[in-house]
Amino acid sequence: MNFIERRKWNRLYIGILFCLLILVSLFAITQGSVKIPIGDVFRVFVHQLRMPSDISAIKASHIFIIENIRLPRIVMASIVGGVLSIVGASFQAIFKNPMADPFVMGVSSGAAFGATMGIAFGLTTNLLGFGTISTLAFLGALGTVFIVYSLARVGTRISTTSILLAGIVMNSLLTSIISLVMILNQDDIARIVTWTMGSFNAASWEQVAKILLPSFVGFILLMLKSRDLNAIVMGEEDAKNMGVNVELTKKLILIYASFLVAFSVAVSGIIGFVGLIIPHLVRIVFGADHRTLLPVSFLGGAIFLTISDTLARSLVSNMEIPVGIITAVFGGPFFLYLLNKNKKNMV
Amino acid sequence: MNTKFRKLGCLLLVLIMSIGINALSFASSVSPVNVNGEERMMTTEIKNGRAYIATEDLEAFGFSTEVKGQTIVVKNSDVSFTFYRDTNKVIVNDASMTLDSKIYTRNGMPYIPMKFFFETIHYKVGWTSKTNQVTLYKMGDEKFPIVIGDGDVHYKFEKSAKKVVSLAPSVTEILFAIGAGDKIVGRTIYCDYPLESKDVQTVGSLYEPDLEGILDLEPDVVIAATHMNEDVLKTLASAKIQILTQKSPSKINEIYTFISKLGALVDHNYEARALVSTLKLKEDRVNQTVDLIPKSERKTVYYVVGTGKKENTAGEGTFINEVLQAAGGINVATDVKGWSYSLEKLIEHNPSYLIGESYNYDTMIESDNYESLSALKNNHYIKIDSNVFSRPGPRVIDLGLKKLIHELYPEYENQLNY
Amino acid sequence: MVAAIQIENLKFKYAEEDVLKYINLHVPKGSFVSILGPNGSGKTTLLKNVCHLLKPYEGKVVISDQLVERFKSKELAREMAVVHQGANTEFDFNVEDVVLMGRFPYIKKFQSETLEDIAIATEAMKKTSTLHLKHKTIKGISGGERQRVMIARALTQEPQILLLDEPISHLDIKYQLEILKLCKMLNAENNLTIITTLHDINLATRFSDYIILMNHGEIVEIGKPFEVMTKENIRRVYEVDVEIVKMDQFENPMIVPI
Repeated sequence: MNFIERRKWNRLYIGILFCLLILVSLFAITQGSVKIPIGDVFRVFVHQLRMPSDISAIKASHIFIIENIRLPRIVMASIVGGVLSIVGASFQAIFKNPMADPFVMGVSSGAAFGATMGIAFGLTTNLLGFGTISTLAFLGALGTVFIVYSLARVGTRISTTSILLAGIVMNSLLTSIISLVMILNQDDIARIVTWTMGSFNAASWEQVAKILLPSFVGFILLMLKSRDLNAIVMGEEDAKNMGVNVELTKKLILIYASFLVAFSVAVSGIIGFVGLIIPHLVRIVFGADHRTLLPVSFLGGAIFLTISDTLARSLVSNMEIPVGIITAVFGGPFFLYLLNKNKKNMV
Repeated sequence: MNTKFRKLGCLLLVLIMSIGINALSFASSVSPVNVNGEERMMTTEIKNGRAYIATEDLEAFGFSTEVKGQTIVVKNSDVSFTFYRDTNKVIVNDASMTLDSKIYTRNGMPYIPMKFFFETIHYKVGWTSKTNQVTLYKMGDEKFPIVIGDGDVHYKFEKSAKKVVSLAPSVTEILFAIGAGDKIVGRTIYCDYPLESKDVQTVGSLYEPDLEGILDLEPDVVIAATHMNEDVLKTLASAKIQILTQKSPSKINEIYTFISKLGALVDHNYEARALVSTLKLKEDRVNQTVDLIPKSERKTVYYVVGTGKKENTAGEGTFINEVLQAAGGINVATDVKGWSYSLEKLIEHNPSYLIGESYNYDTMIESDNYESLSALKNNHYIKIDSNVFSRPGPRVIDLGLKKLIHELYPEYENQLNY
Repeated sequence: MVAAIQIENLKFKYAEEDVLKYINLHVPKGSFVSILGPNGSGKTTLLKNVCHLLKPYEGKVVISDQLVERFKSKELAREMAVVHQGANTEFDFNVEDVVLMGRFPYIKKFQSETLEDIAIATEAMKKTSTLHLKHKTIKGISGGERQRVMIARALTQEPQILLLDEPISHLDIKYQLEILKLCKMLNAENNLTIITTLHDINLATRFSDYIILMNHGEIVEIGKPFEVMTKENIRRVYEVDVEIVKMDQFENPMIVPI
């Protein structure tokens, strides 16, 4: 198979994955504390598309649940899953290290930290629809990236050990400060908790609207850098001599990634391991070419988080498990497996 | 509101005492009562510090009386009262409650507590010193739309609620207490009183409500405490489900207002007014009792919310603190605001009584840290069901205050009459 | 002769230490130049100064009549390709993808590889005898094959100048010869200017047009292989005594350590 054919096949795979995401989402819509038959879900959709469909037999509350609770929730889980995956893939490329991940590196905590500070100091002004809190979350994420990056860098190499250590330190430092702020600001606890605990409980179309455009823009910006990323992962010196502006590209990618993390943490709180598992699995199946890796990771992350969230809200009836726990149950062992596999590269 | 009730209470006390001293006996007297500005002669009696009225006089208000053995039924087309002779039990429509005084009959004529009866049928009961008369003034009926406020937020209800989801145990207790338990279609996992409430479908908790479950029940109203997740509120609103939030009360009398509002919302006005009336009368009894206790005899208390790892108590500004003080306890933890306390302060204050769950008692007994507390040495740990104290509902007055008086001031307990 | 690379008074410091001391160099177009010298003599540093990975402390580097720092990064990449030591294989790419990466300086944003780009990459793979590897992954081939793939990628940049840093170290003798023969062929057929750092004195003298002998950050001598690789120079630089032996079957004599 030559390059052109491969590109065609990859497009086909992306199409297949997209269909898979739709199927998983449809199944997810039927699940929850109220079981809704798939037939009803179809009828509601067909009706929404202004096509003839008899929905008179469906309870009004079920229609509302489908349209206003489950659908935005699934869309949001998909977007956040996709975003976390492409951020993970980008971090792994920039750090040339498969253990890089927004959660492991403390970047998600950085976003939550920024937001917490904003809430604690009552900075709630809204500039052009871009809140101070979101801006602070972005700065928190960006600051953490650069701290971890400079702590972990030894020459041009980023060692796994130092990236993990720096991540652990940043994570515990930031979460401690967040806890402290929560203790000192009892009134704001509820608002801060939504930034720290990973959950899609509060998903709504409003939230989807908030994250949709930034995610799309972030995705496009990263995609535009996918060839640069390919060159960079093969070696920064090689990349420079191929005409890649390596330093600028790295900085831009870190900024885009922090931007995406800040938005995803804003709507869903801290959800770990998605950015670690998905790009890795995608790389095994589809190879390291970021032009394929990024979109496939996005879809893979979307599918993974949609499934995780469906489990989170239907495993125990009438109770919701925070989705972060589900992803950690999958991600923790996977993380250890990666760590074991990378043992020889660590020293 | 508080001062108003207190004033009313004082006035009534004066009324009751003066009449009591004048009469000096339980003999009935026919005296003028001012009803809506007109003087009417009624047969009233003062017994045990409470004014009673002969049921024959209620005919003028459209109420018939039927005596069958021990039961006395007073009713009109809207409301029926079932009293039991020589008990303080009353059933208003289907809601069972207790009074602060017993119903009795003399010469075949039943006498019932005047204030309770008239308040239930929505009269304002007062006293005019000009003519030394009891005044009864008929109040307007609650009509929809009704507006219920919570701080700065006002909720408007166009019609009565038939299906309610209760997201607070206290709301569940109140609704059951006013006989509206059947309107509850969903409850939190923490709603466990009365026992019948457990048959109701659960919908998670206040902080993690099962939104889909709530929507599936298609309720008219979801009643929650404030500080509920704003996004959940928004979603409920967009599903055209009305919401009523209520700030957790910090004063006992705020419970009365809330009970009345809930009664109006579910169209159980009679039951709600009856319940409020009985509770106020009982609180009044508690206040009178406590007033009798000399300051020097008042006991210092400490309420154990949590212990062992970290001391949590009911400090200044908490509802439980109000309850402790209402029962004549001197809460040692008023030197902090809120719930957080320290072991060192507790030891320093060394309160004469500790109040808390029995598991907290076990924790304290097992640890050396609390050895020096004289309350433990003297076996002055009052074991309570913390739900009674922490939920602002009828049980606080019915059981909580009574229990505290019983444990702290047993020699005054008989003053309570309930 | 037209200069492919012109270096004037190049000085490079690393942490206050002079790594390169006033290098002057003129590399004619189409020549095959080897840089020799013991470890730490500054060979790789010189190479990195030429390809602008390192910026000189003093002096200037001119590539095809233009100061190296004046080039836009993509322009420079079209003029000069570099094969560095040891490619990163943490991330697994297809051989074909790796070779196609060489088209980076030619492809604009929002664009993808054209058929022409693919043809150029295929041609480069043919020249380097790596076409049969194109579906393999970069992890799954031998060190010699990987080095050839890297050269194919460099060729795909269609450069005038090819720099190689230790292209044959860590390779078996068979692959060492293969790589150098390949370089020589490219040098001859495409008029490609080649500058490579090498360790093997004999292979360097056999394949190079010119040799730059370096020691302690200075150029000891530049010239035709046997003008430079004299017993005296080798003793001075490597502190080893050698015998230079002429053998009948080779055009070039052999340098044999005693």
